[in-house]
Amino acid sequence: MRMKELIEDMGRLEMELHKFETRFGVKSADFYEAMTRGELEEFDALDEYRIEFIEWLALYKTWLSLNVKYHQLVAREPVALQIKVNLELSYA
Amino acid sequence: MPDEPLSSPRAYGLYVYGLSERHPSIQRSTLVYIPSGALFGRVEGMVFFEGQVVLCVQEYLNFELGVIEGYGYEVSHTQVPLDVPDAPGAGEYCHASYPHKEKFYWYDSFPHPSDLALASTDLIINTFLPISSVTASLLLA
Repeated sequence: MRMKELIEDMGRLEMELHKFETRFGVKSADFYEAMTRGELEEFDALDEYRIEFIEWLALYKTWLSLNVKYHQLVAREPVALQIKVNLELSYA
Repeated sequence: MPDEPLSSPRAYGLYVYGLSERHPSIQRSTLVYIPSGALFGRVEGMVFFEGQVVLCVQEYLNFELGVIEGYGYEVSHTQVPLDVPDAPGAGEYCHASYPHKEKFYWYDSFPHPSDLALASTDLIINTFLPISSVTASLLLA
């Protein structure tokens, strides 16, 4: 796993998540908790929201998995080294 | 030996675009893999079978974990021709409220933690198989 690739994908996901957060007025983490607790089941019957909620949940779960990976990579190598590697790639 | 479909975006693209070749009962497919990043993407479109049977597909793929994080599938009988130039596309036809179709069954990843039957199937499907292959197999049976 390449850190640069991971950071780029997390940024893309955050932009997508922000659109949903703005539209529905809650942060993705709170939406995720409510969905997984079954508090939003009434929206399953609403065609216009169901697919959006499925997409929002899927994107947030993907972001969570990338965030776990990010912390694994950061823990593996010092941040200073990560930055130097990234700068070397940028100037290559 | 082909790669496991969920091992990479490329492998999943090959899997999706090869469905028609592997399953002769598929008359036509508009499924498309849309990359959103190096590690995630989506599949959208319709698969057409004999007898005007249509499978609508929407999948959200996570290649970091190698899973389908979200999905929506619907099998219907279309009441309008879908092979003409001005036919509705997936964005219109696959909307659940589209009127000119008879819905047979549908399946999606909307969580229902209080419904144990739905919760268990979500786990099985999402963990082991791309559901499009499961649904296609059902139709081929």
